[in-house]
Amino acid sequence: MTQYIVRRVLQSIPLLFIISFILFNFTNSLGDPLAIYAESRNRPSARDREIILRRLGLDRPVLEQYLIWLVGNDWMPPIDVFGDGSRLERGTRRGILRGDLGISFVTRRPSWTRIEERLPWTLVLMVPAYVITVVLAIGIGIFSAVRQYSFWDNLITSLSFFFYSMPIFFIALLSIYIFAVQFKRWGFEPIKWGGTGDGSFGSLLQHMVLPVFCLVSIQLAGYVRFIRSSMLEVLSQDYIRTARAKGLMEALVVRRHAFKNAALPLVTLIGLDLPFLLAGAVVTERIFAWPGMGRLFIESFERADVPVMMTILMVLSVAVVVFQLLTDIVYTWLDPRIRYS
Amino acid sequence: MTIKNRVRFALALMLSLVMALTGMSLATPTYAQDSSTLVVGFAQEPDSMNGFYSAMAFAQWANDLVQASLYDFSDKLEPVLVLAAEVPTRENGGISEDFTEYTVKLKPGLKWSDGKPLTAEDLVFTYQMIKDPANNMVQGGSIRDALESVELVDETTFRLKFNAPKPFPEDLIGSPGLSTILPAHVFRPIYEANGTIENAEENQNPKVFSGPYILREWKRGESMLFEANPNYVFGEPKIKRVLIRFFPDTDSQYAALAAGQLDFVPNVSEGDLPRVAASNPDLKLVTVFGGYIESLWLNLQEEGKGPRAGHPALKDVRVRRALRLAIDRETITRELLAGATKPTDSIYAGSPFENKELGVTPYDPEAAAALLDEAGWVVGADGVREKDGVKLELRYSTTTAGWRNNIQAVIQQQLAKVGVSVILEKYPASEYFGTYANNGVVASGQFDIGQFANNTALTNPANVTVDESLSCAQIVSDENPSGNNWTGFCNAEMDSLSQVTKTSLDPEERLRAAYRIQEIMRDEVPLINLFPRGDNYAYNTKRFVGEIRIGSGVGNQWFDIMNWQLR
Repeated sequence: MTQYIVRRVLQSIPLLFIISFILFNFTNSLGDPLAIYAESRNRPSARDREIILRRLGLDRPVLEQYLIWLVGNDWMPPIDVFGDGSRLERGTRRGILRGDLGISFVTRRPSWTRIEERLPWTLVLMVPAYVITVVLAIGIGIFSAVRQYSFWDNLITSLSFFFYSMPIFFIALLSIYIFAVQFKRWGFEPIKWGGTGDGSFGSLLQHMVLPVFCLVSIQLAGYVRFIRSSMLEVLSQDYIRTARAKGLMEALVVRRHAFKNAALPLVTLIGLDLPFLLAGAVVTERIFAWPGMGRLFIESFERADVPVMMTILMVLSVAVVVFQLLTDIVYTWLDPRIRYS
Repeated sequence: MTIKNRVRFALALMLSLVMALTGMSLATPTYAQDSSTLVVGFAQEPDSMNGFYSAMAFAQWANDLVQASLYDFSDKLEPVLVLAAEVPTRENGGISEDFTEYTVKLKPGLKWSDGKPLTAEDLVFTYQMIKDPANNMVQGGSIRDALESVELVDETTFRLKFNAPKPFPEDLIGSPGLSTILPAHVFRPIYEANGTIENAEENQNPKVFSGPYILREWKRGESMLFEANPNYVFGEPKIKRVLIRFFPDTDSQYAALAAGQLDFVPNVSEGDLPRVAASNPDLKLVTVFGGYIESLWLNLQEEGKGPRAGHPALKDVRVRRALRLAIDRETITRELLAGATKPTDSIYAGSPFENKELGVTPYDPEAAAALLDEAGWVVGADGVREKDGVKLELRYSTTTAGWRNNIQAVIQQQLAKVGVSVILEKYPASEYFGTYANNGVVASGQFDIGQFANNTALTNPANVTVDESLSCAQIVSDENPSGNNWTGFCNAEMDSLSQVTKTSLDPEERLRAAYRIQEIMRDEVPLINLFPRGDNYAYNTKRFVGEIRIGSGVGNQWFDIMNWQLR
């Protein structure tokens, strides 16, 4: 087992290099960090923009920029800032391999600082939404599998599809409109939204209600369908008939014999989804003004802030690799029949 | 452990993680929307709290809350003295006979928010920082290029020497040119230690301020809390706290405005004015001079110099005039922009330098069709004009802003009526305005018609659009990849007139030059001006005592904030 883990970790190193190379090319072609100046009130002159370009290293070929991103430029020949040799400046970047994730083009702060600020808030929103989704989905999925084609199953299935096909921005704006704007007009206490509240725990919970509701309502359907179908598959197995024939209570059959077996694919699904909790939820965060990672990514994209985008994407890539490995390990723990060699 | 226990364990772990994270993120001061706290909605978060390191309007607005300038401009474009004792002129001896030397006097007894005296030494230090290229500032370029030396005369007086006559003090010491003054006692030690202030923590989390407010707390991604500065030159503002909340989604921002959660919003787009007004009867909408004109830029680039050349028809001035005649700008401003603005042909629209006698080209599709016929572009079998087998089919692009895309669609229909076919394209701004080297859409000529804004001149006739975006020397090409002129338009007379507006010491001569520039642009049509864009504000009248005065887009929107009052 230890050998297996070590091998998987070693395998992931070249994988992360390849991913980072592809992502670097991709983020670099997404736009131009200097585009912001085009419609700005006090536009830097052409010469000033050239200087900015050289200092950021954006005048170099993308391959060279990737190299600088990896190993820095403090060992390279100095930068000719004015383009005429009259001012040479030594590079200050150390590269990701030496622990320097780069400086944000936008705020001129380390890109890691920007992620550090957003990560806790992202998890505060995403983890509860995810836990509620999974717990509700298990309950509803089992319920509708056990009562297949009943009125309730049909109702749940239709509702599932209804929410599943609803765009998140629509649910989000609709819920703001009903619970915040109209509630006030109808004389109810409106639900607070927008940001994370005034700093108290109660206010935070209140501000979480609407975004969590939206996230749960669009994610729930997918999980319910998944659990329902994997439960249906298990319920038709011979060992379930045997369990029933033994005279076991139906509740026990469902819980102990059916769900335990149906839960294994769910673990895979959760393992795949967990790392993306770090990514946040772009649309939900935007609409509810939540200071999460999804928004940070979009805002960095709008300003072509390559160092920040790269840091976010690399954090996610590493998380995906780690969670895949963890899922595999958890599998052997849950199902002793599985062995890796 | 049974599976049940394992699941319980995992859930407990997750829950405690969330609690721990919540605890980490909380423990911050509280606020309430009451008579001492003004709640403002911003669509974007400022990128820097040092004005020299940002080109972002929202950063400028946040900075103006904490920064006092030497002098501002009011809503009526009159100078408002803030830190300066007077606006230097030749008459009062503040400007030398040849306009190369300014002597500026500060008001006596000025203080920073931490109680330290604010003196001419701070200004000398600020100009020295602008001058040093090691600081890598985004702003202050025009000062950097012009400044020869700065010297301290006495505690409240400093003197600037320039390498050429500088007739416009507002560009070099007034609010648009110099809106940030650095506290020397904070930045000098940083500069001496690092040789640059570029990466100073104080740029992101400043502690010492000169303006009406001090930044108390910046919750990244969420809000900025400001408190009144008791040492402000005009006294402590009546409103004790200003809370700026970031609402990146305009729909939710408007919903917050409608629900009364926001008191003041600075960036309502013209197209949204009607629905914002209808959403809450307590809202008042105010439009002030913005300093921008929305225009259709035409690609007149020549083949073979690097950028892609535009459609050959655009080279013919008759075609350019016909396009202007064929667009019903009146209907666009009335129907799509709620009548908040009016069409214009002048690049000086809304300023004292606008040549009003030139009027505005009317909507006249028949005249447009006649001009196109005359130019040899005749209607073909499919209704689209053509000449020598080339169809009059133009690529018309802009950014992804919704209101711009609406205008695109209307103009497409209007041009179709005169037999001009238009292909609509839209791009994210970071791609659209990318540099030539980075294959930016406009810079590399991948357009025939490009819709975006240009800066206009409101305080003096030196117009940056004429001077940079339409001058021969600035045409972008392989040789000049940073050139600002993306249209390829070149007119020698206009270039020399532009020099006159910048450097002539005779106000009459400058005005004549500005008038002539407007004539040339009307006749040559290097671009089709659509309308001047205002800065649109919405505020909740229930929250304010009386009407509030908001500054123009040229100066400082908060120039009068010390007199605003909440209830």
